[in-house]
Amino acid sequence: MYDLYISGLAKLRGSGRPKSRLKQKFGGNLLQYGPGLITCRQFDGFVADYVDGNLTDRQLRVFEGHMVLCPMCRIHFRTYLATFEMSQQAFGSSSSFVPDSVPEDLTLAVLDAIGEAHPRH
Amino acid sequence: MIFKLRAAFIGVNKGIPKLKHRRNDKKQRSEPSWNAEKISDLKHQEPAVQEQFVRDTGQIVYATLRRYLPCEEDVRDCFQETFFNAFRNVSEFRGDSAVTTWLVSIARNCALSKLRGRKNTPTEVAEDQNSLKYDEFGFLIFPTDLLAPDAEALLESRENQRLIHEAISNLSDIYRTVIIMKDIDGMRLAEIAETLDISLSATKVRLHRARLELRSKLMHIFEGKTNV
Repeated sequence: MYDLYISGLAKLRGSGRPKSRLKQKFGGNLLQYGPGLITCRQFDGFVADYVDGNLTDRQLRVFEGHMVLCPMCRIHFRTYLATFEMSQQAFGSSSSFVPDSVPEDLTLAVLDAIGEAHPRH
Repeated sequence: MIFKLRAAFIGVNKGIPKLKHRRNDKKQRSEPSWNAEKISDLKHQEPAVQEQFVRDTGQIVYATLRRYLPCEEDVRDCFQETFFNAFRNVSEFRGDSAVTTWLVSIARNCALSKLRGRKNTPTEVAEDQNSLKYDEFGFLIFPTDLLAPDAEALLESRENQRLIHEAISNLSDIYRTVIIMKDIDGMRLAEIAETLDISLSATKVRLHRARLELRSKLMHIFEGKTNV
């Protein structure tokens, strides 16, 4: 039912940002006061929780509903998610930047320090 | 699935990548057979046994420190300090977690202590330059010409990987730390809040801002490199 509601609003609103100020104002008021809708600011407040999987089912529906209605927030979300995934993968198994080994001189320095601090008798 | 976008029915999720919650599959070394019992008397073991312990577990400690500390000198200092503290407190280790988890925790605390000890390190960013802008009607204003790069395609290039590392390294300490803890090390928000000694909500805000700052840096780097 909610999906149909959002779908109907999306068709009514059209894709992209309205050009006339009147329509923009109407759109802003709709997101602010419309039942089951959130504003762009509120959407931003949910983005991190969405990516981290901390939204309730109801919050999730409202979040995704806003994304259907707002092209800017879709881009915001997409780039935010890409950032999250890139930072995750940059240190993953395919990364060439995860060090393979510890410099030998560093290992030897640690062993020396341990030997001095905890001498065997 | 909770993360599956249901917006597909009107085709608006075109180009929105699906959320992939994969655990970080960092280079795993063969898990050394060290456990609480084996390391309980490490201080008084033969040097050869001590050396084996350092060699078996050193890589994961080193990799952890390299993520948190951009300066190699700091990494080396903390590497030594981590093992020094581990040997000193080895009798307190009860085996509630894997030995490597315990060592990583010591290393992380050492790195955070090193970062906190730096002069002129802000504890919070007062004015967030990357905060989002909204128009008079409450709509988000976002630069449409800077679309999301294809993360996987970009990561195939070693040069791009280097640039991403560089972008993360260039984040301010407080932002880099929280991104590494959450997005790379996979810590829970509550754990991060406890480790950093800040509230859960402050942790969430800091993480969100950190990702926005990183996004800003990545967009700047990859602008013009993609045709998404």
